[in-house]
Amino acid sequence: MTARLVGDGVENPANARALLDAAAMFAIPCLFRDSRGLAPRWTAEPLVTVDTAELKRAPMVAVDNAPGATSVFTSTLPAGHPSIVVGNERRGVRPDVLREATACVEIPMSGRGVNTLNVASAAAVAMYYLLQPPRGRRARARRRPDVLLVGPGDHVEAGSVLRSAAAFGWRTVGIDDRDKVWFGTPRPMRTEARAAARSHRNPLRVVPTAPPLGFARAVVAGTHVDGLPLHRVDLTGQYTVLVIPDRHDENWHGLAPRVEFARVDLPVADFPYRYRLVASIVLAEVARQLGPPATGRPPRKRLTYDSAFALTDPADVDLVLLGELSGY
Amino acid sequence: MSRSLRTDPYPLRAARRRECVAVRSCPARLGFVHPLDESDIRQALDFFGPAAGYGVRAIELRHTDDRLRLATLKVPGLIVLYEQRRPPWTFPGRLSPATLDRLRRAGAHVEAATTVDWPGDTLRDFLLFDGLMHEIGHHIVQHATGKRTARVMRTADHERRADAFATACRQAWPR
Repeated sequence: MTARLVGDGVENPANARALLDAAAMFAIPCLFRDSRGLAPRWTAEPLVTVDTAELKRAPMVAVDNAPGATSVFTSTLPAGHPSIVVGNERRGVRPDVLREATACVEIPMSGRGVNTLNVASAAAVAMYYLLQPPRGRRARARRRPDVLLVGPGDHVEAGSVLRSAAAFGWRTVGIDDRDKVWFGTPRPMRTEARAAARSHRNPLRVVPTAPPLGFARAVVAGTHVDGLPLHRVDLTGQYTVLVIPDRHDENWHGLAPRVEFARVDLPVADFPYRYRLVASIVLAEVARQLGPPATGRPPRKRLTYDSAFALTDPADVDLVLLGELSGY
Repeated sequence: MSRSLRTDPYPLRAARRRECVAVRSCPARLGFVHPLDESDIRQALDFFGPAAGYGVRAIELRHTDDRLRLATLKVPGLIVLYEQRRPPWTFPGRLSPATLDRLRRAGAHVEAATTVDWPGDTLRDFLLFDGLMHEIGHHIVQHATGKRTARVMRTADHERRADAFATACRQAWPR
């Protein structure tokens, strides 16, 4: 099956470049339906475009969180030469494509405040699951791991990963900012990074962190690590930290008593690497393993009033009666 | 105007509700005792009248856990009285001055701020007023506002009202 990626109405040239890189990761062509003035802003190689009639000739899978969309984790591509269509950064896929699409898939997200991914990250996640559906199991222990981003080399990539983390439901993310791209950066760089992270509505707490971490188990995930495929490693669990390095090769065995490695399997070995794409795939896989969040509100704590004794000292001993002691 | 169960005068309605108060008891474990039994609770509710039991759904005598508790009000209307260790009590730490004062007022003999003995019926009275009637005081505060499941005032004020109600009950109780 040969598929293709189509950017429908993408405005930002940087996102268009990232889409080209995402398509290259999966060795499929990337085309654009330029309906929102991308070409005048595009300064690199000639843009490969597709017109509406040609786009609609092949089966289409729209990646959009429209009503009725199915989960990308359980969807498959239709037969033929399907197009995976991602939409405009703000407006999504155009209605005419949504109407004609064979299927509409969404990436399930449980985040508050931020509930969308960067368009290139969304395309990478969609292609990862649609082009090579993983056969992994769901996690037994539905515990969300802690996440540590190690040495992101680009501030926009780091911001975009933080946006993905918030969208997939993390509240706190640690960052080993060894290249100084997130903390203590010059103002223009800081502004770009925060914009990529959607920090104005992103409730994520970013904590500067460096090993040693004190976790019982660490899972190092990425394209440059040697280990089992991502979907065959249990990425979840209590006292687990998920380490996503940005192409840093180092000795990970000191991270935790138990260190596992998860490789993001891609069809090609040589591709234009982007941290946000790889990290978003890893975070999406964790979300898949965790499963959908529990529905409904948690039960409210019942209002109670106690009549109790107060001690001035902390009660670090237990009261034992003589009868109990003799019985024991 | 037609009369119905709902339009009855308040004393009649309250009396009807008081009869619905269920008292459930779980026997105390070895080494523990329920200072109040069902007849004590019924007697107190009868003495203090319909207003004391109005809206109370049940009073339960339960086993205790590791927490040093006398009683709990679970809003709305469930009062739990916990079993207590047989006196004398030895606490795993020094009691706070406020608690010591409360125990002494109830007639307990306190030694070294960790050992408490209860002569005569003082433990029963302590559970009756500082346990049951104190929680009924909380219940009345909640119930009187009509917002039965919402926190209607600050906890400190709530406690103060409940204490005042328990003290008034203790003074009205025949010796």
